[in-house]
Amino acid sequence: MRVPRWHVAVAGWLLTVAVVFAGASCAKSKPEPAPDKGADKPVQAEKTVAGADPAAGKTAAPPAEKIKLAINDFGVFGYKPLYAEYQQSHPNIEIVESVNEYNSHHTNLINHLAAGSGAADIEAVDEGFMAQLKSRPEQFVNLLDYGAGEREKDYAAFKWQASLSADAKKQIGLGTDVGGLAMCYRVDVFAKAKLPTDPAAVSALWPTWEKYVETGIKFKAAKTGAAFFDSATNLYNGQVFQLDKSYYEPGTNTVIVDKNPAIKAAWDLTMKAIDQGLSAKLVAWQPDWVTAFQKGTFATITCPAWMQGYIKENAPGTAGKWNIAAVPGAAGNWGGSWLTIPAQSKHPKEAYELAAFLTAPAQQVRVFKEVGNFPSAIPAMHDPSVEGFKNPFFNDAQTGKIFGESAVNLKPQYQGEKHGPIRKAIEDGITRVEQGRQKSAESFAQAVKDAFRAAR
Amino acid sequence: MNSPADFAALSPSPLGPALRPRLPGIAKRALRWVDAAIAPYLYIAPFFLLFIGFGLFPILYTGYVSLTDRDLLRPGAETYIGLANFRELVGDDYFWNSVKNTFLLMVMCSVPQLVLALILAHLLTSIRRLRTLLRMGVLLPNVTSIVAVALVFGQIYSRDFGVVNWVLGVLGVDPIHWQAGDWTSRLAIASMVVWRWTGYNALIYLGAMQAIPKEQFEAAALDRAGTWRQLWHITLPALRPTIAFTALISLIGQMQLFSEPLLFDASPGSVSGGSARQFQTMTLFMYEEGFRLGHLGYGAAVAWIVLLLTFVVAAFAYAMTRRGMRAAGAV
Repeated sequence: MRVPRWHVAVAGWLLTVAVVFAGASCAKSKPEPAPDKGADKPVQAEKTVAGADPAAGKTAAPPAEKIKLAINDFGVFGYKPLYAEYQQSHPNIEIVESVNEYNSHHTNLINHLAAGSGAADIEAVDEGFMAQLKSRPEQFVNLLDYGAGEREKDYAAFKWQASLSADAKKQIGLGTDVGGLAMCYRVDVFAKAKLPTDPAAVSALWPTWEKYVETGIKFKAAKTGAAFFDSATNLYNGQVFQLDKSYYEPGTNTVIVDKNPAIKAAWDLTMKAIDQGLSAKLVAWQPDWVTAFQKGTFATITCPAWMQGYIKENAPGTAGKWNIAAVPGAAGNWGGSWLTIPAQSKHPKEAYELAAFLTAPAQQVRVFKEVGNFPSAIPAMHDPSVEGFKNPFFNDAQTGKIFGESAVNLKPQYQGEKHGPIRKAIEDGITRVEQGRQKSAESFAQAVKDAFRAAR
Repeated sequence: MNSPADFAALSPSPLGPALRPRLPGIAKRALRWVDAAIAPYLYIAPFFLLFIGFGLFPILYTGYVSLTDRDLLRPGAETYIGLANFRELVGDDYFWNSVKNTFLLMVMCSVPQLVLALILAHLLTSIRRLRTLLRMGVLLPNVTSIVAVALVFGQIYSRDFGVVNWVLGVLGVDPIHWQAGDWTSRLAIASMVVWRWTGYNALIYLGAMQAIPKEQFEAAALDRAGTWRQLWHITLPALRPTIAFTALISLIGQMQLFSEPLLFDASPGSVSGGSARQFQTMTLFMYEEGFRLGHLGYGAAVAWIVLLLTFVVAAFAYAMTRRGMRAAGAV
């Protein structure tokens, strides 16, 4: 190993710089090449000729240019059969869907917007990211320019407003579903604790969140071995998503997390429930939490409409062991999505037509019945087949009625730009107490500090 | 082979012998000059061009961004604010917390990893059967997808249903919530890194061990030195430069520890490194500021501090290398 000293030195430094650069370049967003619409035209032209679409040949429709529309979403939107139908009636459109995990989907979208390329023609956006994205309306096509104004009457007011820019001049998304709130509970565990099991009787147990916690204390005394709820953050979020003002002074960018008594009240009640040992101390969305669904180690969980599909998918063996009661407190909304069209799309008109088709009330009804996502369009909510729908997985719970009432009675909650990060800061605070790292007062003080830091 | 002229004298002309006789004198001389003076630079140009484009430029541009107040989603709307980001950073507790975590994890990852690699390499030299299979086998953890690794370790360290807590339960120890604690979480992350990189370092040591003259071991064996004494008195001193090299690489690698703590975090997509930031590293902090909260300028400032700290660590490691090599008589 007799290597000249300067060789070692130079190699060392080059290596250092190279490795650091690798890190630095990771920090930069990596724009993926935008789907090249021009390059595959010849191939698609062939397809049109060969494609089984006799109608297009006969009716001498305008020689339609083949257009490929990319749509990026996450989770389960239930659009597959709708694509096939749309392509049938629009032979010049080819739809390419790419489904990703919730967080990666939104992170990718934000990076693609920041980079100026790489986003799809239609991008789904969840409520958790909508406040942040609509504060940059210039990144999206204003759907009002394409006639979205006529859709306003279809939508529940809060759904329409949540994706509307602050000056109400730009609408960046067409709503898909809403996350009306309910309370899912384990019938078998409730029976063991000698609590009522009929949904109406269970709903009567907890007209308010205080009563819900009191029921939990009774449940605990029955020593079933199960915890009353999964995670304190879900108890907290259930309360906060019912407020008409939460972290921001409505209509402004002023953070009021330290001044809003309703936030402190929700926090305090959550702390009481933790002190009473009602929580399974799980961290939501984590593998242990998923397993707990299957093992039945908790009795209740705050249930936005989309949670039904989640439970069914992750714990199929628990069919018939669940039922759904009314949520304590008032109506509320947690989650639900929109279809947006990034300004970088090369086919905004065609993308709008497709988005309008996918979010039309008739299609929302079909998605609800197939997947369970509750419609955000009022005509769809009042569709008899939706109102009368019973979910067999949940002991034929009348989900159409439960989530419908919750959605119709809703008052919109104003969400400021950093609503998501602020919520995360408070949730971390709750988790710290749940994990025994901090006491309530200390943790709340830090959570408030973190919230302001996130919002700066 | 230090000057271009020497290089040209030794290497055949790229034009090939067939062309040479037909060229007039001046052209011939010009070509020879090009060959001698310019060609060497052309040969190494691709590396430097790529480095300038994908290495130097991003570093410098990040430096510029760090001097601005810039929002992730408002490209082009930045304002120049001088060193304000760096001033804020110096007084930021969460930044220093991430520095502390990075250096703690650096020690917790690098030391066991290199010691275990050395022992593993020593054992591998004495193995006769299934040699190649085992040698290649130790590299398997390194080629496994990091996401798969994190997923498996997440289950191993699961609070309610994990293997580790199950074994502890058999021994009468209460279940540990690995993600929740300061040291438990760091320990779990370190174990992930150690598992991944031990085999890689072992192979490097193995390679270096083959270069040690066999006579030394034979002489030691005649003097009745056992295998572990041989490791301590012959292998280790001979391996010093190699150990210094792997230590340098490992330290620099740990400066940028990102994926393991990111994927170990209990709540998916969280980049705060636990509910109390107990395992947030510098790169996670940079990502949180720049890409989660959209403070691109502030995130760029963090990136530059990471760069400077990496230089410091590398210089320190380099100094140690030279001392080690001098002690070993290699320099």
